[in-house]
Amino acid sequence: MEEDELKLVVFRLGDEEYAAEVSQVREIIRMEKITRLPRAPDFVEGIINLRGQLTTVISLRRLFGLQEGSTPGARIIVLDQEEPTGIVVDAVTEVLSLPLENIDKPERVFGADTRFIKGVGKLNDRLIIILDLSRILSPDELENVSELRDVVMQEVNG
Amino acid sequence: MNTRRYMELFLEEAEEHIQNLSRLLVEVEADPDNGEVLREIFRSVHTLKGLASTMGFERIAALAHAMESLIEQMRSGGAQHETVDLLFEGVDLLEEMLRSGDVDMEVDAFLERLGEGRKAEGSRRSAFRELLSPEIRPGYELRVWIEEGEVLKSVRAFTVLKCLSEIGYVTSTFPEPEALEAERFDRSFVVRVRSERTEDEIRDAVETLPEIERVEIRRLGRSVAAQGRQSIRVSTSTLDALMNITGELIINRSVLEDIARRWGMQELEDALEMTRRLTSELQYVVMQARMVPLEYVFSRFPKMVRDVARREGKEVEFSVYGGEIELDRAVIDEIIEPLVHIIRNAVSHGIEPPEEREKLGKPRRGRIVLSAVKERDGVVISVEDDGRGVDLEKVRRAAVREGLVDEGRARTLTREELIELLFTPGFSTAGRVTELSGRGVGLDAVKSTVEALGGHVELDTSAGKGTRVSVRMPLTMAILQAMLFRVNGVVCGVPVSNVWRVLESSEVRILHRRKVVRMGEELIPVWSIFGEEDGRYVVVLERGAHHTGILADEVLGIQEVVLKPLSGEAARVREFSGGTILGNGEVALILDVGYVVERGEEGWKCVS
Repeated sequence: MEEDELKLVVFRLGDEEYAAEVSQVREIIRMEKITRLPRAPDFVEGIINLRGQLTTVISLRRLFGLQEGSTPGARIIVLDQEEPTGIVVDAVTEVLSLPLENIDKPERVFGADTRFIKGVGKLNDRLIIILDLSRILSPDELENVSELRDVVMQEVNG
Repeated sequence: MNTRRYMELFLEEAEEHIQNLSRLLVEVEADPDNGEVLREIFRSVHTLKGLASTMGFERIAALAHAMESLIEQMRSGGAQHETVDLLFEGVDLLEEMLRSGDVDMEVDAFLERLGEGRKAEGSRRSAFRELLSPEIRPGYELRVWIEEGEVLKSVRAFTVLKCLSEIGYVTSTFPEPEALEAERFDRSFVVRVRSERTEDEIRDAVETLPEIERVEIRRLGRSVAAQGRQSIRVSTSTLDALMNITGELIINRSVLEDIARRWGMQELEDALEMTRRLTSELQYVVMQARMVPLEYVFSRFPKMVRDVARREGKEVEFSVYGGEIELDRAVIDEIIEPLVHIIRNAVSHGIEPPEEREKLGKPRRGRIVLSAVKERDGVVISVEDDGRGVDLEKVRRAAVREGLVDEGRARTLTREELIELLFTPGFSTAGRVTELSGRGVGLDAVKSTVEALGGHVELDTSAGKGTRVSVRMPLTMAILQAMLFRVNGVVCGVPVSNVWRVLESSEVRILHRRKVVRMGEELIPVWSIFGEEDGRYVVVLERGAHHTGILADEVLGIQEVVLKPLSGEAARVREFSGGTILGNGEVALILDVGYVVERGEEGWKCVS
């Protein structure tokens, strides 16, 4: 049976709507006390206590080089990786299933280098950028953040 | 009298006896003719009875007494399953009374059943009495003193042996019988005898013989008491207090060192050098005292396995190895829960029902082996069963059905990846999947608990053959005495053994734009964890002969913490070796002293 739709967690970051595949997400939690980690790269928000496990939380805003903003609805999306990592987003807006036919392949939108974007979902007049968060947060990519930042922004902004 | 304290001791000791009893009952069930085990059971119940009546818990004492009588009767004829069941029930009741604190619980109905059980045992005994092997009767050792000046020592000794052989079996004497006959002994000799009579009866029988001055008698066996006490019971709170005081002592030493330095008191500094060695040693010894053998955890499992197996109609042979391996008490406490999960899973999902096993050509009784092995860098605790194992192809199909992976991806999943799936929360908790995986319930919980302790879980399985789950724990347990301090709102810690001094930051000088403190001839670099902050204190770290100071706003004191690894990006920050979770749930960061001191010496980021 071929899947004909994609299950997505949609979240907001600045003015854009992004999404991650549900299969990449372990859980979504409210902002809690984050212990800052000195000497870490600026996109590392800090460490949280996730049921006894020290979990690193990353600010997607800072990772993408966006302005800091006040975000009362902020949430932490915990990714389902071997070493779970949390990302802070401005708000989680919804979980939805998007038919594949409503998703454009990234090449068609952004051109060649689309390492971090899985596609762009269209829902009525909304455009949702589907990120490959596991890829973005992989150690190899984070190794060179400025490049990553450039590529992501380039991909997002076309 | 401090009753609460006695109460605590009573509960602790009673708990130990109950666990011991559970283990022994499982043992006797497997080997009903083992008289030695029966005797140990008897001793344990007897002690429990004594303890209870000392505390005035009459119901508990009465229950223990009734069980004791039942055991007394079965001792001579091996154990019947029904009787062992009754005793199990008794132990459960005792446990419940102690746990709930309801020491006056109504137990009459059960006492009556025990009485009936005793009658049944009694009738069985009389019929088979003559067939009993003397080996399973309890053994005693008597030392007999003959009246001083008695001239016919050999005659007296002979009378004693004859008397004893009438009420039991003499197994050996010391000196040997020939020496007794030849009167090659002073005034006393030793006789070992097996008999169904009680200690008192035997003593009375011998003591009333002519020209016997006195008789000492003791029961033979392998009880802890008989082995002689090499250890004593210490409450964990006492150990914790000891640990804390040691920590305080180390801080106090650093204060004294500071005074000695400021006043230039060389003599005092020399004396403190000795104090330093002693406190380090003390710390080591206290850590050693906290080690607990795994037996403490393992001893509860035979009963659990038995209970689960009975409830689910399984037949299980459960064996345990490596209980003597020691781990830190804090780890021992944490490891119980995961092991309960794993073993329970092995019984309910791993081992097949007896009929199914027979059809498969397997022995009816499934086997589960719990073992601990010390490896170079840790302890591996494994639970291995010969049950149905996990069919990884079914896991592959289930993963697709549960929406964890798409079909294309599922086809390419390797064996390791499929096993890894068993540990994912969504997978392992899904009811249907659990059924067919033959594993699962809470495996993700097991994994996270173990990993939080710095350990690691592995699973190996073969469909139809069985499963092995191994929990690998580091030997040098990640427990450390840390001095905690607050910097810029973040709580940081360093191992107490690396804290050299704590100074007021008023001693900090700026030299060539670097913060330093001066200790005699030594200039010690001072750095700010966040890079820019000031602090009221300087915590001076020591590593080998090297020192580096850290600015802190507030010194919070010394605490025992469990070091947990940082993950992902955070793990790359070399300044921290890990973190810990404080009592209030807050995360504290633990500095990697080696790295910080090394960098401090290089003058790294010392610029103010």
